[in-house]
Amino acid sequence: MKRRDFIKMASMATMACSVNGLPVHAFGQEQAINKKTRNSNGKILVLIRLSGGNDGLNTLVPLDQYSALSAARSNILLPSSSVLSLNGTSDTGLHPAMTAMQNLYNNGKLNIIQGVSYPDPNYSHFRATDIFSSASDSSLYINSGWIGRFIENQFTGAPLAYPNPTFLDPLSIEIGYQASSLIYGNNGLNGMTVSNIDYFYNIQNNFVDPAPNTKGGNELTYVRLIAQQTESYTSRIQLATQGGTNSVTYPSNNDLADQLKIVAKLISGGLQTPVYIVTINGFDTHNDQVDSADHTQGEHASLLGKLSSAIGAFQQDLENQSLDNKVVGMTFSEFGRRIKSNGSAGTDHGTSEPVFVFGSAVNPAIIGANPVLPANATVNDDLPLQHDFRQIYSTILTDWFGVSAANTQAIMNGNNYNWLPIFSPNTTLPISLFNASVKAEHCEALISWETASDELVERYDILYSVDALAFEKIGAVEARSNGGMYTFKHNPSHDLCYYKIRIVQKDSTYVDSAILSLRMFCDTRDVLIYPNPADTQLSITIRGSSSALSLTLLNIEGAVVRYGMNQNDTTLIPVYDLPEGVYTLVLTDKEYFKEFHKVVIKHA
Amino acid sequence: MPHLNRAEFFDKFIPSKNTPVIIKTYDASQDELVKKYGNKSLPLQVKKSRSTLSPYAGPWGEKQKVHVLRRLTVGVKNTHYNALASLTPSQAIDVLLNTSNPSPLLPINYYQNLQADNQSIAYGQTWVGAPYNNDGTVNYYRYLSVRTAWFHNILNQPMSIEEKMIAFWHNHFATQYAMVGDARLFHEYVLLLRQHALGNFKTFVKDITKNGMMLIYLNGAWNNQWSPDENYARELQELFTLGKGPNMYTENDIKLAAKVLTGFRLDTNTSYNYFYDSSWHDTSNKVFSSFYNSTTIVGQSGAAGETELDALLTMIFAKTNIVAKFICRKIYRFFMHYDIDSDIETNIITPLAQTFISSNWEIKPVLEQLFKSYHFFDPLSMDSVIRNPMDFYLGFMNTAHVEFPATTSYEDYHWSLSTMGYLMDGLAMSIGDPPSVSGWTAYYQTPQFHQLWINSDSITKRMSYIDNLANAWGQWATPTITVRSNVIAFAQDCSSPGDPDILLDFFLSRLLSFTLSTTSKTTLKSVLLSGQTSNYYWTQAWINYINDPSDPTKEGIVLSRLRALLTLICRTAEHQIA
Repeated sequence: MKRRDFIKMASMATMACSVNGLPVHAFGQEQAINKKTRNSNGKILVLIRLSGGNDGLNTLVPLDQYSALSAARSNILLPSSSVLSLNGTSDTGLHPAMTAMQNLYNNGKLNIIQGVSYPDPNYSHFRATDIFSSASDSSLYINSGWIGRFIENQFTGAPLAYPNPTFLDPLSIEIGYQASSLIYGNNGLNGMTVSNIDYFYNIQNNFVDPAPNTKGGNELTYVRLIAQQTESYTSRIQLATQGGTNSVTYPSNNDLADQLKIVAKLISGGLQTPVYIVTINGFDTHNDQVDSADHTQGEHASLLGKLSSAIGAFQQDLENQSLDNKVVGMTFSEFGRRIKSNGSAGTDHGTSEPVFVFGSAVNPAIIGANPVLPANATVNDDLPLQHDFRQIYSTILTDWFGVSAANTQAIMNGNNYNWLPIFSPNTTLPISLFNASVKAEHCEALISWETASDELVERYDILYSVDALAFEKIGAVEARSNGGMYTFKHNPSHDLCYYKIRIVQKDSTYVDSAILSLRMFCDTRDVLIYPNPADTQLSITIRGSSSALSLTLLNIEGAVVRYGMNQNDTTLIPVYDLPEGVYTLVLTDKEYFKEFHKVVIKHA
Repeated sequence: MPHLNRAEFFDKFIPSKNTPVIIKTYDASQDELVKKYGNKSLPLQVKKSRSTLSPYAGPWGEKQKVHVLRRLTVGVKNTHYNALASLTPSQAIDVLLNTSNPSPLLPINYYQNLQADNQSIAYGQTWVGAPYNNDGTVNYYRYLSVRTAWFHNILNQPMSIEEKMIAFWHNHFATQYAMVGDARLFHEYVLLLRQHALGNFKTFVKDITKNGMMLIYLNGAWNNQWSPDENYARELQELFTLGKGPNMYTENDIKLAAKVLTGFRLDTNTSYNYFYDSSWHDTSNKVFSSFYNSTTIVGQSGAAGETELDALLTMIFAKTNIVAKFICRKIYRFFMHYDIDSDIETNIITPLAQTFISSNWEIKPVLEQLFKSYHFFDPLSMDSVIRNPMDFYLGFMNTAHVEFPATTSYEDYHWSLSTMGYLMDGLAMSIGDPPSVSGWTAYYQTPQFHQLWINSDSITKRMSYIDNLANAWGQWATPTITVRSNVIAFAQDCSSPGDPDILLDFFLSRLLSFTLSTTSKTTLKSVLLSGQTSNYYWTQAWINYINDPSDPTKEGIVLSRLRALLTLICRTAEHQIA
């Protein structure tokens, strides 16, 4: 974002927030500087899908509309005294089951956006889910999901070119057995569902029938073992699962807590995956939403209680492990529910809903005002639209992931949406590390980074690890106070290794950078590709490789046009039927590390 | 030559434009995961079928019908499934064994705009029978066109076992195009497999002996009286008819058979046809070992020398039990399972071999007896075979309505099929190029056998290729075309696609042979319902689409859910097995 745009948006933010008169942190220049565009900035988003359509009026209760509420929904009405209060307002409160989220708000860790929907809202679960996934207009059908497009925009070549030495981890993780359309991009599935492998690691229950004791059962077991062992990301998840911890006890009998517990463990284990998606089902509360005797109890109370306690435990877990600055979570449901309750002590499909964004980085405020309810609502009355859900998506992309305005527009199907003051400024590193990277150079690891002014920094410690879990200090570079480019060389003991840059400040506090990973290719392997440009065929000679390499020739669109295997041998790949152009030859070794070579095909 | 690996081959022969496809076959047996998890011995502890070849008279439901189609054809085509409705199991097998494609596609010039055929073959016309010009690039495209015609015939199979049998014989009488490099001979070889697919085995052996592809591949074309080449003579006995074992033919028998086979040459100047050259023939008397009852094949000179082949085959086929059991075991390993224990040997192989002998080497009666038996329909015979790449990949295309460009858009259509061929190569079943004269390791390498199809290289490809076909992004086929399953058409094969329970059962029945648990089915159904619990949501979405199929939003809603469901079903390990 340009500074000019930033100021414009900041002033809008002030306007948006003055509606409630709630505090908004001042936006300083630092944040504008922080917004240098880069891929994968180490930040993590956890999407929590409330499947079925959440009843917003019984979740975030507009106490100033209580008489209208009483008229519209007396059979499910929460007693006003039971509603949990939020600091700084007496007009709005939370469902009595949501004590953990009340604490989050009152402790500055929860942002609430009122009245979230979109123009011409749809009342069908399927269609509304698709709209929330694709971020499309109500009248358009788009196959891909906004997360999928975000990943393809930020990770060049995704999903086919991953994992690779620059990014080893899954591009996104959906806990469960099914990849939702959220992570479908234009080029494929940009992420994985953990259930593909989790029965192996017992992370959660999943979708596998026991193999019978037959010839077929023998083969089934074999196929499963191979599939689990071969999953490219298995070893990364396994490492993170082994290395990660949970520092709190999560609530029991709580599906969502089970899922968030896994997410926290994987983040704690060092996985750099930028997006996690979890789901809690059952919000389609057409009947018996509350106990008739006690409206603070019942199905909806149980769901909100699970939501709140799971989020509370998750946030505490992250804080205990000092991971809270890199994670935010967001809830969403495909729609809210009707103002007027139905005769079955439930509510029918509606429109707007409140969205919660939590984490240590958020701006602790309610964005927007309570809806003004009609005095005698009918079944035809719906809540007004205050904020388009795509404003939230866009703000997360720019403010949290540091995506440029142009890329954000591209991810959001070419549209611009107004920014919202969801995040507090400046929750990141005390200074900005730009272009932090590590690469192999003359069989040494070259770690480099750039900073602007770094006068508060004492030195940069370089930490080294062979498993991305246990890091040891291998050296330090003194800060120069005026910043600039820094480099550090190291001769690693392993082919696969990891580095972190620890920024040690003059007050001796420190902050670590994201993990940088390196695959040294200077062992003994020797790859000769000849001729290049190639006309009729390509000869690939490999010497000194410790394992068979799979060879894949990709065209410019990333489609595979040729395959092969090679171990210390010469493979001839005919190319004379391929169109002229630039191709990528990918060599993948048994550890799924990929080596890329540009190949030009030019016909005589 | 077959004992030469490909690297050695290319060290010897400098590659030129004439070089055929050289994509190394992945050596699954050296795969660390296969070593670790594959069979260490044949699966001894599992429940095994005790059923026999007695004619089947049991249930004839959906499970049995898809089993028949899965094993005898490639995939489950809905038209075939529907055709079974009016047939008994026995009638169904009769139709499958007696139907053949009346007009299989010949290889055509689809490549005119990529590489003009130098014999003025018009775009879309076949080059078969046209003069040949030794231009490597044209030959390479002609080779691709033999493969694409082959794929076309598999994807457009009538309800017949024919394509399965062609694949069986390609594995049995294996030749490698990469070693021969001549598109005409490749085409004639495929034609021969088709001609004899369900014919007389002994006649087949005689014809394959004189086939140009085979004559080059196993050096028969250069076999002469001055320095006999034993290559074909050895494989004729060891791989094609008798197998290998103790107390069988001797090394000297192989030398003698090689002498019998001298003179079968190939005209490499003009016609490229087989011809008999008596001047090359060894006219001495050949006295075989006691294994062959000390048979003497009297040396013949002149044109009569060619008749020594008949005498040789008569002598070999006089070992009736050995030949018949060897072939019946191969059939069993291809269509049923690789584990042939003593019960299977006694109850299945031995009686099938008797049928083979008494039918005077006709193939059909053997297949008929096997496929009409209780053993074939035994539940323990179902769900037991790891799908080979043809069944897995091309079978999915036939089952799930994968749509290609119009066949008359020759370039687009055949280029797409050619890409599918490369993908099959990547799955380690390169049609036209088995890894060696022994065929695919999955059919002979004990104790892993079929498990060799699944290894650390192939498993992710298998998953991602189906992902591509099942989803919106599709499988790259040419620079301008992607292909994918028409999932809506697939769903419409179901009797009540609006009922999510019936639809799910339908997909499972077509795609998996294992029966899934209720829990697993509930999980899968929730995909169709996007996590909702009421069937109504899917039903309504389907009705909305049916009432207004041109509305992209209504179509998109059902498409995305069907695609997600299909993807998930095909990602199960069960989908690898039939």
